[in-house]
Parts: sequence; structure tokens; C-alpha cells
Amino acid sequence: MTDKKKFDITKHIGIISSLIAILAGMIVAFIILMISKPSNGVQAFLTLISGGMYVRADIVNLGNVLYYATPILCTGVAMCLAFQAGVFNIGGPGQYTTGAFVAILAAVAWGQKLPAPLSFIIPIILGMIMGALWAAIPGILKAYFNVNVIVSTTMFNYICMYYIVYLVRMLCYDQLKGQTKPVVANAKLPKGFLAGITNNSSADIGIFFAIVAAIIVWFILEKTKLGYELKACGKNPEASRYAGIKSKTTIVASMLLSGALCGLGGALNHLSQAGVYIKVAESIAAEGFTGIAVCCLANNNPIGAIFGALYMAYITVGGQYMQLYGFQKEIVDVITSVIVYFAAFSPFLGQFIESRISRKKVQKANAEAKSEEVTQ
Amino acid sequence: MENIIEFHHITKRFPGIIACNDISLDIRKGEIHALLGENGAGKSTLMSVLFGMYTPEAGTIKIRGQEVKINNPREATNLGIGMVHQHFKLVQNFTVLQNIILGAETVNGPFLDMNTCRKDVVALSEKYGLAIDPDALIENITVGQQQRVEILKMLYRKAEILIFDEPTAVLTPQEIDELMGIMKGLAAEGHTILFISHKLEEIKRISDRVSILRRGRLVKTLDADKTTTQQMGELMVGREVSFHIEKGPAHPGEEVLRVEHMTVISDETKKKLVNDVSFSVRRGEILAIAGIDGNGQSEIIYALTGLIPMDEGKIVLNGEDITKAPIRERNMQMAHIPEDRHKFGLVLDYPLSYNLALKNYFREGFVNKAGILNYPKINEYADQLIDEYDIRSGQGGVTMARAMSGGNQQKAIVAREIDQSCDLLVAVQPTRGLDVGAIEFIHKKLVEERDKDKAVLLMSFELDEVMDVADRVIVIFEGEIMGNLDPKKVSIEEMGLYMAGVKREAKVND
Repeated sequence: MTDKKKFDITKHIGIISSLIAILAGMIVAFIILMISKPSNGVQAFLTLISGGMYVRADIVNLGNVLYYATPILCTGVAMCLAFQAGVFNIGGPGQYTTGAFVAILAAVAWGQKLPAPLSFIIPIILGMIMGALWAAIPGILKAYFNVNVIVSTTMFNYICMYYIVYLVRMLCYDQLKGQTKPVVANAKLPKGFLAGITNNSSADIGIFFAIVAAIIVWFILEKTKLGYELKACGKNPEASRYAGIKSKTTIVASMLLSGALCGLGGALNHLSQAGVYIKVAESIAAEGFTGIAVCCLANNNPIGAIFGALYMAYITVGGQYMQLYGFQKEIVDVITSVIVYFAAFSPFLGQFIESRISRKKVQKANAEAKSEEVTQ
Repeated sequence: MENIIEFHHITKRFPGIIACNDISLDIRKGEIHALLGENGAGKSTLMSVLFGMYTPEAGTIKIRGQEVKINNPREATNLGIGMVHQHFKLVQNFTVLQNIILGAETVNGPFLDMNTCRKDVVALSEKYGLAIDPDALIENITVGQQQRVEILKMLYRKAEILIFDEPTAVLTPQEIDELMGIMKGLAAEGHTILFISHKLEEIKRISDRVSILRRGRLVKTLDADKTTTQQMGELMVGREVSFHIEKGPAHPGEEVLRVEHMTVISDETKKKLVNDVSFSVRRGEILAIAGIDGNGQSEIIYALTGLIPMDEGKIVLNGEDITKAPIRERNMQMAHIPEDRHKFGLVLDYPLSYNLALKNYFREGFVNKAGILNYPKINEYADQLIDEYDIRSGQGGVTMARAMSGGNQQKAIVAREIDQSCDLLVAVQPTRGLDVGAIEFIHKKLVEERDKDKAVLLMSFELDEVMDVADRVIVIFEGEIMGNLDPKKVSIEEMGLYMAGVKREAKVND
């Protein structure tokens, strides 16, 4: 009855809806470009979708894609894990920044004293621990006092933003530039072979840390007892309680892991060769929120997040060239936001497609049944 | 007699199944017509088609001789069709009167004309003997009264065709008698009643004709007074069935569970939902907790299984005090078929195999020391249970629980819990919404467990089930034990008096 070789669309709804979301975002971005500067709109759009290679056909652009993908892959995977566990962690930016700060502190303090791999691995680990601890607080508030996670994590982003500004000034301040002190070269992530093959782009080995993290999270969610429990709590907390799963522990565990991943993202980005600093300014790390878009594009799948993050990074790189065509810098932000917005829309698209397919199936079954009746 | 409804070749499909397959059926004006069938036989689907909730793929419906297309319940209401759903659709903190007129209010300009509404409603209630208090809040009245409100809602909307979806499931025997009287009265007034039920006795008692459905097809329409319940049952299941479980006498052994002075106080109302309840269950016996829904039985079970905390009292399981034990620890010695299979029993968006492993996934063999699940083992275990308990699903173990029929979802839970082979099996409404075949199977399994020297605690609102399966019954009314009875020595009617709180034994706690 069932033909195994036949392409079963129902199994690929996630990917199809993501692709449609991307396409729709592109179309709207194109319209915005055309409206704001009709004369250069087409070229600008080609640059945008070619990831900057329309302007400069150089491998350096692809290398930079890897660089930009690194932090948002970490935060994207963090969101996949939290959302699958039914915990809506909106605190990515805060966890990201606390992780980054602790990593910088450690790298500045011990960067020269420690031998090479340890000089960045130890700061990364400390950054992850910090991100985890920062995320654990809303987790504990949720588990033991039933405080809404969306509200508490959002507020924690602001607490973090101001507190980090204060701490940077106190502990690690470069007064001239109004930002954290620079990290010594020894504690920065090496570019390794990526420097050679990407024409010395900003890409460094951080991307491999992020990809490994995505694979580990996928493994945890799909193959382990912990993942079974996390997902069960996400899908039906009452049934999980009935089965004897300790929901309080599960919530805290998912926040710890999610926070650690955000912290990893912050640490990797701020230890990169490109030289990223925490500025003394009232701004929330966008990487934390972009993680949500990556996660939506990936349909909560950590492996899918790898592709989602690469896509978002690709658009970012292309977007950087927009100013060449006389577009305001803000237009670039508008366009990337539109694309992010549509990406976030992809789960709904998936549901829509699914309902249409099931309707078609019923109709087809009817048609088949009718023809059977005729032949009988 | 003229036909008020004619179904012509109605076919309704869902992915993978044909819920109604070419059903043609005439309903006469003024008759009480019962629809009988197993779960998934298509009775509810057929009625949903009539009430405009589903559009059939093929076939036509004629109402009063006119071919009609019913696209939604509003159109059905306009055609004079009303439906009392199994789960009532009432606004809990509205009064009876407000609920009845909701959406069909008499208005005077922009204002509600409550006086006219009230007059109309009171007149209707008197005409059909549906005693209600128009100003009582729904949350304060009994389930039986709520049902009357639902009936009045239909009548107020001038419904002539009344659909009842398993109306007796939540009522006491006395309330069932009353309902039967009301239904007969309505039919005598010229209303046509369509009545979905699993209960053969009731159908025999009240209906004029009965249509039996099996696997989406209409098997036969019979005159109720010319047939026996045995015949109906056989036509429904397609084989011989026994309604009474064959079981030998119980041989109660040592005590497995002892509950002492259990008290549960509601967080909101501060009322004692469970008031000083003590009982025990021994090996080799089935103890049933009977009573009308909402008298604290659910809370007894929740407190016993650890889902809610207990305010006072003590629970001893196998000689061990588990009053404060976490749920997982209790699960080791206590299997639990929960009352609400969607809320507690299943993770609906997990596949069947994961659900069957819900109480085992952490045990040796299912997971290794590093915390990695053994999927081959989980699948093998699922296949074994699917086979043993005849759980039907579209694609076996990988089917999402959500995509399975209610009966098979229940079978999956029963399979999982019985297979725990714990000393105590707590079965709450284990056959709710199941057909005769599945009920028979589950009852057999419960008795089998008893005969394996396990203790079984059965909580059920179905009095027939309690009388048939249990060796001993405690009746709960308003959180207190009214009687500790031997089902062989009391009649159903007497049991009803205990359930309604009219009768009480002098000393009830053991």
C-alpha cells in the first residue's frame, strides 16, 4: 500500500516551512529595498542574498559567515533545548553577556600565564558556568515559586545589562575606549587552518565548539534519559509528574544547560581574533534574541540550528555591504529584522501546511475509494 | 409515521480510517432512537455530522423532507437540532437562567429583557417537568441538574430534534430514572430524540428503535422491544459477549494498603474535600470506591498517588509509611491508571512506544549507566505490549499517541500499568468511554490481577462496573465514607441511596 520510495512531504514539513519563511522574508526585504532606494535596490538585493559575494567574490565572506554564525548558533541551540523542555527562556542576552564578561575577566587575568589551549578553554568554561548560574535563578524561581519564566528572564536581561556596565567599570575597564580591557593574543581563539582556507577571515575555531555543542545537545535530547524527561515535561508537565519525573529539577536543569550554551556563545564571540569587547553602553546583546529566530527556523532542532545560524550569519555579512549602495545603516537592520521576523513565523507555517496536507489526503482517499467502488 | 431525518449514504473519512461508511438511516418523528456501537464505530461522528461539526465527504441529509447542508452548529440550531454533549458546555460562574439564554437572549433595544426570558424559561421547565432554580450558579448545582440546564438550553432554542451523547454516564441510578422520564415526556410532546449509549439495559428500557453501528457501518436497525440486550451486544461487537465477569470468590490475604484518617482541604474554598477517610485494601481483593462524580473520590486518589498533598492522615503501603514519599517512590509499588488519560496518562505528542515506557524508561535495561536510552529495548517492549493487549494504532509503536483513538489510548495505559506488576493497582475509571469488548477485556485483566494475589483499588462512577467487578465497595458522599458494603448483598437502588447521601452506615471506617 505504501510506497517507501515516494517522497513523503509530511516528514519534511519543518524544512519546507523554514524555506518558505526564508523566501517570504527575502521578498519583503526586496520590497523594502526597492521602496527606500529604487535605483540601487536590485544590486543591493543581489548582494544581500549572495552573502556579500556579489560585491567581492572572495572566500573571506564565507569565512566571516562562520564567524558570525558562532555566537548565534550557541544561543540558538540554547533556545532549542529550553523550548523543547517547555521553558521559554527569553534571557539569552543576559546569559550571553554574563558568560562573555566572566570569560573576558578570566582571559585578561590569566591569559598570559596559562599555556595555549588552557588560556582560552578555562575562560570559556568559566563563562559557561556563569551563564548557567545566571539562568538558574529564573529557573529556580519558576520551579519553586512558579514565577513566569518569560517575565523573569526578560527582567534579568536588564538587570544584567546595568550590572555588567557597573562591573566592567569596577573590574576590567579600558577608560580610553569605554569598554573592557583587551584580551591578550594568547587567550584568543586561534584561527587554525581556517585562516588559510578563508583568506584570513575572522573565522576561528569557535565555530567547531558551537557545532560540537549543537551535536551534543541533539544527542542529549534524542538519545538520553535526561532528554526524554526534558521533552516529556515540555510536552505534558502533568503526565511527567504522574510518571514520577521531578519537574522542579527538570526546569532548573534545562535552564542551567540553556544558560551554559548562551554563556558559551558569549565567551566564544568575545575571545575571537576579531576583537569583540563589552561596551559600557545601555544595550542588550542582540545575539541572545537572534538565537530565538535561529531556533524557530530550525523548528527546535539543534542540528537544524546549525543551518539556521549559518543562514542568519550569511544575511548579516551581505547586509554589511548595503551601505555601499547608499542605504542607511538602519535599513540593513530593518531588513535583517524582517527576515528574523519571518523566520520566527516558520512554525506557524508548518502547522498551516500540515493541516492543508491532511485535508488533501482525505480528499485523495475519497477519490481512491470512489474509483475502487467503480471498479468493483 | 413520517421521517424527520433521513441520512442517505453518509460517508465521513479521517486520515487512515472511515468513521462513517455509507450510512443510510431514517429517524421517525417523535421516536426515541438509540445509536449503539463500540468506540470508533461512528456513532458520535454521525451525530457530529448532523449537528454540523463535520462535513461528510459523501451523502446527503434530509430534514423534514428537505435536503439540507449543515455547515456549523448554528445552522443545525436553526434547523431545530439541539445536542447535549457528554461534557457539558456551561459557564460555571453564570446562573442557570443566564446559561440557558446565553446567545439567544430576548432583547429590548440594547437591553436584556430578563423578565421575559425568565418567564419563558420557567414556563418551559414546568411544561417538561425539568425542575431547576433559575438563579443558582452552575458551579453549585449537581451534575444531574446541570444536565437539565443543557436540556432546557436546547428547548429554549426551539429544538425539535434532541441529540444526547451518553447522557447517563455521570448520573446516579435515581437521576437516570428521572432523565428517562424526562426523555419519554419530551418524545410524547413530539420531540425526536437521538440517544448515543453503550449501555444496553438503558437502550432497551427507553428507546423505540435502536441502530447498531460497527466499524463505521450500520449493522441493523431493530425495534427495541423485540430484541434482547444479548442480541444487541452481539451485533455491536460482532461476536458473543458476556456482560458479567466470571470470577471466583475473593481470597483476601494480608493488607497491602492502609489509609488512615485522610483529609484533603481545598486551597480555594477551604472545604474538606476528603474528610477523615480510612480504608484498607488487601491482597487478592478488589475494593471499589463508588460515588457520584465530584464527591472527593478523585482527591482521595490524587492524595494516595502523590499528585496532591494531604492535609492530615497517613498512608501505609506494604507496611511502609509513604505519606510524604515522592511520586516515583510510590510508583515502584503502586501502578496507577489515571482518571484523565490526556492530562496524566499520556504525553500525547510522544509516540506510543515512548508512552508505553513512561514508567520504565529509567529502569535497568531501558537505560544504561551513562544515561543513554536503549531504543531497541524500548521498541521491543512496546511491540510486546501492543501485541499482548491488542493496542491498535496506525503505524505501531511510532504512532503519535494523539493520533490514536480514545479506546486504544486507554488500552495503552492499562497495558503499561498492569505490566508494572506492582502489589497495588489503582484503577480510576479504567473503562471510561470504552466499548463492551474493551470493557470486558479490562475487567478480566483486573480480576486476573486480583487472582495473582495483587491488591486492586478501583474507583468508578459506573455503578454496574462497581457491582460487577468489586469484592467490596466503599461509597463516598461529600468527602466522607457512607458505607462499606458487599456488592453481593446490596441492590443497585440501595447503593444509589448511599451515593446520594440519604443512607449511612453507623460504623464505616475500618
